[in-house]
Amino acid sequence: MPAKPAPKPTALSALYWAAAARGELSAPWCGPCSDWVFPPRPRCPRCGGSEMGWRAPASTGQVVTFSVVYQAAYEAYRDDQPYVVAIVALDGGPQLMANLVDVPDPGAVTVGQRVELTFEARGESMQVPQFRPAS
Amino acid sequence: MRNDPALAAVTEIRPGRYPDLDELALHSAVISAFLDQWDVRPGDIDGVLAAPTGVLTEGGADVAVHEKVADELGIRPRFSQTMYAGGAGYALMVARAGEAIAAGRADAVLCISAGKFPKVGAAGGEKIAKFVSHPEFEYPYGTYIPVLYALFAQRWMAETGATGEDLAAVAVAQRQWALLHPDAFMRDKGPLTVADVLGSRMVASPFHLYDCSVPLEGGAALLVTSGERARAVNERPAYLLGYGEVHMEGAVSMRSTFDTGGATDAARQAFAMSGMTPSEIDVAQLYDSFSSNPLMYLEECGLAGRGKAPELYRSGATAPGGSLPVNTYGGLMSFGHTGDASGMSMVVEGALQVMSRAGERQVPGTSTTLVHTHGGMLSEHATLILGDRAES
Repeated sequence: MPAKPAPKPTALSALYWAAAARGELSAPWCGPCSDWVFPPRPRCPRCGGSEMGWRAPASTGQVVTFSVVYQAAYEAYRDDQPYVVAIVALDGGPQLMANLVDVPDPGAVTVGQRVELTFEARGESMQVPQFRPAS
Repeated sequence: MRNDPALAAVTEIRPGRYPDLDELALHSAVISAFLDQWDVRPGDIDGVLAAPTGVLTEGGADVAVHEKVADELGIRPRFSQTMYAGGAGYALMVARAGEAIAAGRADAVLCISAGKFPKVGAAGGEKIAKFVSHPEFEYPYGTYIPVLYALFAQRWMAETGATGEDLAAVAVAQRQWALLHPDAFMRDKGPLTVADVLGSRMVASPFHLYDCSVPLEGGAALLVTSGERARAVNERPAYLLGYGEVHMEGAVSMRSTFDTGGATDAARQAFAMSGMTPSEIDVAQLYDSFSSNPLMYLEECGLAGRGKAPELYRSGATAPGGSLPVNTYGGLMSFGHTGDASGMSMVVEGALQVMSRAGERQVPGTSTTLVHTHGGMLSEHATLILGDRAES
């Protein structure tokens, strides 16, 4: 069974993945616009500014939408099926894609469901943000 | 538009499996079929719009298809390029060709594509997943095409209360149309029921296997000319009355809203340009990679109220004999999905219905069709309104 893929950080996303490896979420923030610039971009799409302050989003949010995957994309996910892919809006932003983990009954996942941040190890030393039902 | 741009001639080869033909040989087959069917000589064509082919194959994409098509025809066009906007690219070709004709930059533009569906083997599935997903923020989560489309469907269902039965009804109605089309791949399979769809294996909720399109090979060509030239080729051409385009985020996770798949503004532009309203549309061809798409597009294009599209299927309005026929060729789900060329099929059918050349499946009295296509993961959107008169 091949391992699930580990993301390959770029110069723009290195801080995001370094924080994730420590079990923290950190995302670029445009001070003048008081809003997230996520995923990381060279410039703020609103003001064009390139100065990003990185800060920690909330670790809770809600499911915007989801799919329960019964037929895995490829072999690395076969042992996980059915697995849940979701878009999660963190409280106060931004929005992320992740899996919902620790879900005993995938059929009970709903749009609007409250979730909280967790992490999953990938590759040698990386972690990817994941979500589980809020306790 | 100046010069009354119109689809003068359209030809599509039967979708299927062509193991002996590579992508360029499939283009040749399309060109031959087109020239056999219509009284058009290569020298009449002075524009070529083609699409990349082999986008996900081992050999990589060919992005100079327009050169090969022109060479095969033996012409030196004055307007030519290979352009890409996924499945929306073909409606955009018609729009770009129409603009060139209106501007006097071309007289007769051949829009062409032929494609194969990439093999979804062990490595193929991963390759496609990478192509359609953001490499860092989506791909690590086990995404692939059905999952990304499912995210839109699930949200729409949660908001409108639509059910799995409602999705299945799309597959059922489209199979009814396919039974009337001699070239539809699934015609031989016979009728489909809601129970068949719901009983097929789950792929990614809310999609069962029969909520998905059928991966095949094929291709089509469209000739866009001035109205005057079109009438010399075809006594009943399909005039381009309006078009619109929208380009949403390429990566699904970056979508600022899931409240529209993206058709809303494209259709609005097309209606504004044509001076028409949704009530004037006789027939709709709505891109259906998955069963949820036509439902969402009926609502986004203003052909049904929000949450009301399932009723159109339940009442039989979208099926043969109904008041608003949708995907009268069977759609990508029952006619077949021809890979890189998929977006051609609904443009061809939209034109054939206006031309009154749709054979057994012809909707009597069709004077206007709306065609909506999308590309990528609902990323790019293009709408066409075609009609039997140059001015609505």
